[in-house]
Amino acid sequence: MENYFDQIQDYLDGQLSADGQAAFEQELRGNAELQKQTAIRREMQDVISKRLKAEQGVPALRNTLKTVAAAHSKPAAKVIPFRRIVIGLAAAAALIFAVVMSGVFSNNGMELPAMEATISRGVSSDSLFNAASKAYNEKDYAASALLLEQVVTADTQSAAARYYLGLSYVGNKAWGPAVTHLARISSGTSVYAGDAAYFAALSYENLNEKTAAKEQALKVPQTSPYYKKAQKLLGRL
Amino acid sequence: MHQDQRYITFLQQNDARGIGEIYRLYADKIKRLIVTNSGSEEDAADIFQESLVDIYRMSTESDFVLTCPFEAFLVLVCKRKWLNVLKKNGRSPVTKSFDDVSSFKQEEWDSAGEYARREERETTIMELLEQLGDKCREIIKACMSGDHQEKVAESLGLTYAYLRKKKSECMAGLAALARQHPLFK
Repeated sequence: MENYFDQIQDYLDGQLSADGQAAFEQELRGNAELQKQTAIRREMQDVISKRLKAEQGVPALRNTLKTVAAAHSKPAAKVIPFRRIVIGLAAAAALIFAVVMSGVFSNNGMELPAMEATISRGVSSDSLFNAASKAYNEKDYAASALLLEQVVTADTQSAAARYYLGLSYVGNKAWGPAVTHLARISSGTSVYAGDAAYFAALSYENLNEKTAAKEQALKVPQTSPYYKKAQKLLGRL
Repeated sequence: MHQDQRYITFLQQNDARGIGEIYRLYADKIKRLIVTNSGSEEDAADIFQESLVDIYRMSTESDFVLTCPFEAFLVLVCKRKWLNVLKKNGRSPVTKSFDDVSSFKQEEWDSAGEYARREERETTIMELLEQLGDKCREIIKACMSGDHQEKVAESLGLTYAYLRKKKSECMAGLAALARQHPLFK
């Protein structure tokens, strides 16, 4: 007599012969316990496959949750109003100088440019932008994303903030939010447009949206330091 | 689809701004629930974070659709996790305030309950998997990775036929563990 319970895995994996499968299914129709055990095994298989795939995104999510939790638990009195930063920056405008950090940082084969830190004498510690720059250059992309979200909310026209916000999401492998911000920059006229197009293309590639990735890669001008990489990306697509 | 699907999307996309909104709306509420049920603020922070991670894990299918308020789902997941902690520590839960937390309609709680039960089943399956021996766990995880089974056999240094035999035995072992669990009886 056949032991159909020993055949459940082969049935689920499509490994039974045509005759074997027909016999198993005939038994399945009239055997409530076999139905129950087959359903549980199918559920276990589906859940394990899904959860193993999900685990790949958990470290980055935990990183964001930790950063957001830290920001959330800060006493409200210590939150620095954005207006104060803007006023401070404006007053110190004459003294502002840009410190452009040189070099690039590697992120699993994806190199992100360093973030320009605009340092204002006397008010630099108050600047969300500078705090974001520090976090970004230390590769704490969850923290820089959170800080830059506040900057772009207060100043929707800041191309620099939005560009680095997009790059922060790239660094955190959050491709959806990354393309939201980078595609917006690449369609504009700021100095970041060409470079943003390259990283938008990379993000779309990771989302497996090849047409959009190609469109962005084609926007990268020859003057961009990412032109050659964009051409290479086009070759991959 | 419920309008709160956007909170699921925030988690799926690891959207810092959106996750900030989830914290702003719900973290303090969950903290109150945990603290009034024998927990500390640190317990509440851990439960809240782990519940969000579990909701993310559950919702990674591209076609996952939320049909109930996110808050109700979140409260039920946090409640179950906290009750498990209390049970492990041999402490008696007082859960009245959990039930009184929000004024959702009964059908919304029922729908959220379905999601929470599904989340619990999924989490339990992964916990049972961890109870298997090292070799079985390795074989099951490798077989479920999405790679071709011949390639998996080669990477594990096994023949394909032996891998199939062991996979079947290991999955049967996992099913046997599940049969002993109240959720799968």
